Amino acid sequence: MLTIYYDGSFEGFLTLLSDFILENRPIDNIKIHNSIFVKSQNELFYEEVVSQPDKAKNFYCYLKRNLPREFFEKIYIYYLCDTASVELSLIKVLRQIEKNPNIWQDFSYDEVIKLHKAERSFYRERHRWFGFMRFIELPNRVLFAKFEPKFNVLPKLWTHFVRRFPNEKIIIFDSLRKLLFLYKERKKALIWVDNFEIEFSAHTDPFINFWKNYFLKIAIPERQSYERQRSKIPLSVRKFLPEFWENL
Amino acid sequence: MNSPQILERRKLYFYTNTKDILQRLSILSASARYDNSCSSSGGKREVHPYGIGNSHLSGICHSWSSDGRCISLLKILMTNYCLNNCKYCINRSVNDVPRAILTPKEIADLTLEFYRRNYIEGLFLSSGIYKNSDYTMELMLKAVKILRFKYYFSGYIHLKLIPGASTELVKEAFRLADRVSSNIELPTEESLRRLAPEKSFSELYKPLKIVREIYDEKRLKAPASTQIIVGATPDTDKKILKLANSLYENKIVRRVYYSAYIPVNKDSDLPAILEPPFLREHRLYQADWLLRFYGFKLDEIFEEDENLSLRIDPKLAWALRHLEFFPVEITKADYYELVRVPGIGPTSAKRIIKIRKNSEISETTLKKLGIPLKRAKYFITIKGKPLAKFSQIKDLNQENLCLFSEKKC
Repeated sequence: MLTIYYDGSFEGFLTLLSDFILENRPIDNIKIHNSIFVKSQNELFYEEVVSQPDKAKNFYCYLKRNLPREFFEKIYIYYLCDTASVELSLIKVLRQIEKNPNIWQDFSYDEVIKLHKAERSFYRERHRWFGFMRFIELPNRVLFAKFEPKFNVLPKLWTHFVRRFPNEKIIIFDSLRKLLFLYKERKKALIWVDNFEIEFSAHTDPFINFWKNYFLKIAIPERQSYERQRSKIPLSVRKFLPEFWENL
Repeated sequence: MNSPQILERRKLYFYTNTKDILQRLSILSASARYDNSCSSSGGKREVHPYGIGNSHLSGICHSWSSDGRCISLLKILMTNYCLNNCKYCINRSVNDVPRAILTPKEIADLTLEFYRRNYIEGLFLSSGIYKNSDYTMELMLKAVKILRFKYYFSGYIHLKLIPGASTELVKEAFRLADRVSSNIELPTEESLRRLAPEKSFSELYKPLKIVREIYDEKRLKAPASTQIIVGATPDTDKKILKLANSLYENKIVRRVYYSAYIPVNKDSDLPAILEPPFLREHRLYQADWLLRFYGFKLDEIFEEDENLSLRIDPKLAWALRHLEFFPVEITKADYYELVRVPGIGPTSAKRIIKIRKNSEISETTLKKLGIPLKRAKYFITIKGKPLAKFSQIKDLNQENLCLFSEKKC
């Protein structure tokens, strides 16, 4: 069993695909991991795919030329589904697409179902963070939010907030992947960082208390159902939601 | 425009008056919680170049309160002082409850600050009747005008139309808000007379009719909603849904909310109940969905009884009464045949139609795509083959519900 690691960047992802599609490497008995989540354990048989921007670019152009447009646009989404482990499924589908151009729509093929499911979960996760993202106002009126989504949704999420708050200064940090988004006066940047910490005191923002209070009072006591609440708000996201913070 | 000075001044005001505002916010949000509507879908506004906010067509839930209901809007009353004495309402004039009022500016500022922090999608503003209907409506409109014209706020706003407010004010409310509503409260004039003596059907209908008349897109339902209380009077489910259906057919509202009666007051005219009829409310929503999205007619839902069965949902009840309609062949049936199958809703039906164009359908494919077959299997065939055992299909009837029960019978 050979374990292959790639660095978690889009270039790394495309380099990996290129190795398997254009260079026709065998896919039997292999495992593929994104090294952001699974670090190499120094297994007996392992290999690291080094990102090669030129190779990645060429392969990107190759895909653009050869894939149906709708499917080509999904490739980036499959990359963003980084914890769904769909790399192998995508390679299997891409290998067959020359013979059967409609295979990506054939739901009798298990790998297609896997990709389809990952894509749906990705959009579900993104929609969830449209709602769950909580900004804290820093003293210089910067809105700061930290979150840890299941998939790498930030590249497809920031447009929502920029469109909504065009005149604000925004920082969003995906602390799981160390991906940082910055926005000010219509300029934006999405960058990988080693770490990012901001010190703030929730006491200085009276609206956190107002929100917590509103959150408690809006519930109808006769309808109380923590079970239903838990099914909608997983415990893992609650640390990012001020309404669940301990009393300030 | 939100200049830095305005932002600082606003923050300072709320910081120095935290205790007072907290108290008023508590009273007014607790007073507003019995309104069931909290949807933020359907808005089409785009952000103003100098402003803040836009609408998301499908709506966004930002949190879920401890009763499991979605929080999407800042749902508050402007004031819970009220001239009316509706017997079911916690804010009735004779009740000795803490009363409060928020100024239009405070409401606008709270909404904006909550919105900036992404706590909410917008504002749901209702109110008790303070002094008179027009005065109350004007105060509410003032809050909305501050939001729309001073802060250039394009987020979602739902405004409650105060019964008895003048036509001009209703028109203005409709122009400024994304959705308006007027609660009809009870399904018959007689029930209203008994429990809400100051209200009348014509008065509650009037704002909705004005909205219907001024809404340009005549072929679409007006962006308005209403709420009916369930279980406070002896009215049957059929009567309630008949009213809802006529509102939908005449395109007066997009949505009717049903609210299980929760006893918050004591009065001889109110029913003595041990538990609010939450299950009945749920069944009414299910039947409402059948009317709006599944192509069912009112008479099909109420063929035998005036009330919906509490044991099974209305679609399963219809299916068991009409076994001659089944089995439905999954590979050939059209959309409206598919959605009649218990367990298959509009999403699954659309998915089945989409996938059968390009791939072969089998039980495994359906399962892998997340289409639930637990109920559907008794009512469908795939390429002529039934999915359930013949003996089980033979035993299907309204008395034998073991097949659909969660527990073993």
